[in-house]
Amino acid sequence: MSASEPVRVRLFSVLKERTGQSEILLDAGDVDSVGAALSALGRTYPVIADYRRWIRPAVNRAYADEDTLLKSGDELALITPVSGG
Amino acid sequence: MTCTTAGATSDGDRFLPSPYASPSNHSLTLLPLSDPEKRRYGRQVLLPEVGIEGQERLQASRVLIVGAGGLGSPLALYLAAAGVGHISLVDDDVVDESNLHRQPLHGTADVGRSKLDSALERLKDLNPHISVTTHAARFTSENAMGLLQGHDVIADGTDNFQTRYLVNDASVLSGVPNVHASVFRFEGQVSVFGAPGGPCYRCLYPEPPPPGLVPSCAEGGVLGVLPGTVGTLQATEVLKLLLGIGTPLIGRLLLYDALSANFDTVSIQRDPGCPLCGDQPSIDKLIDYDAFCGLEAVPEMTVVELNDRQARDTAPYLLDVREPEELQLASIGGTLIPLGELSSRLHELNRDEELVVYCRTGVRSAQAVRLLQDHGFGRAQNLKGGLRAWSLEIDPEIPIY
Repeated sequence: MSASEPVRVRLFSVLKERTGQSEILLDAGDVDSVGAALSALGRTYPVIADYRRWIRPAVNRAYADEDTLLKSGDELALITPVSGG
Repeated sequence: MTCTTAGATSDGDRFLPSPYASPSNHSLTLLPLSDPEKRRYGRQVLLPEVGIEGQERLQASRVLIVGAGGLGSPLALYLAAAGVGHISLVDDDVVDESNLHRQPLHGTADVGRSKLDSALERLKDLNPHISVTTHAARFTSENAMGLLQGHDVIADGTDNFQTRYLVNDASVLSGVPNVHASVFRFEGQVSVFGAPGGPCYRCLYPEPPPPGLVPSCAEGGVLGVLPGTVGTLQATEVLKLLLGIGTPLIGRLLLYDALSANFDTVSIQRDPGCPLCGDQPSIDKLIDYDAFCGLEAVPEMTVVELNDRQARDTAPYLLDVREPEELQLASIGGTLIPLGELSSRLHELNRDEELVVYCRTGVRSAQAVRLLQDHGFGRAQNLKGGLRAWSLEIDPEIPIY
């Protein structure tokens, strides 16, 4: 991975709908952890701040938590529970 | 307990425990297939992974389906068609016209009937070789363990978080795996929870979101075919568990997006700290239905009341828990402490003062009020509906963002 490659944030369900974005690119130099990424996203997209406690992050398709470190080129998926049936 | 299908005799019984599907107190008694059953299931029996023995295993299996709606339709239809010998259905709803676009278990003539009556009729017609039991009730903490008893798998086709957590808890406490699916607009999630060594729903989502945060199908809408796609994936996982074949979705969450036609799989692990299935569980019985869903309200003040109090010069102390960037977009004043900083900045606030907390919609501020209450701020209240309500009811000059 080149150092300039961004962190690719993928949004699902409610977060995708409320932000109008399915994918957001973050500068890997600005966000070194999942928590930092969520804080940065929450500043731009208040809905992410609203949901933060219920978001299950996954880094490179593996379940992660707010302390999980991010590096250039990582994929961060933000998953929230849905209830419909 | 040995469980047999209706009309079973002991002739030709064989005992074969399934790797995932048998709780310790429940063993399968296999019976030979009849000629009509051999004809009916022939194409499935042809699969070496199924065979005669797999089909007999299905015939001896018992599945509890909670909910006879969007997910319950494909679940019940395909499990019945596949020859799952006993299906129990729990639902307390009646068929509504607005159900029909996604619930093909029911027909137009069934509108106004009990979903269970309609389902029973359809399933009997679809496969007379199986038995179906219906329970016209909500799945509650009072009846959950009783309803689950004697089943090999529970399939969660419910439409609300309360029942989903209850299904999960009952699954873990009874050792019966929970095949989970849920849908939202164009997307679905599928996984297998409560299987030996695998995670449970609480490992993935430790607590339910507060009411109103995640829209239901009624509020958010749903593409009619979506629960069909997701419910058939769910039915597939049920069959795999019963047959003991393939790689079940244990420890994996399958995400399906119909619009982009993408399937994603995220790996999830059992959380050793999970209060339900962790190493030192604190939940050893079903929790009261309403209490664990965050339904207990925090004290609230309406925007009208706040406006009156401000006009009468008896305004409470106002605390804004949004992010600094949001302040530029709209504000009704007060002290700004972002929710994430609140716990470390409590010393800036007076515990004895009347405190009204607000954010954009009232969700973050409700969390803030709970946090404040936990730290002895007995007079903290939430501004109901937040800035949004203020804009709609008091001052349209405040932009909604």
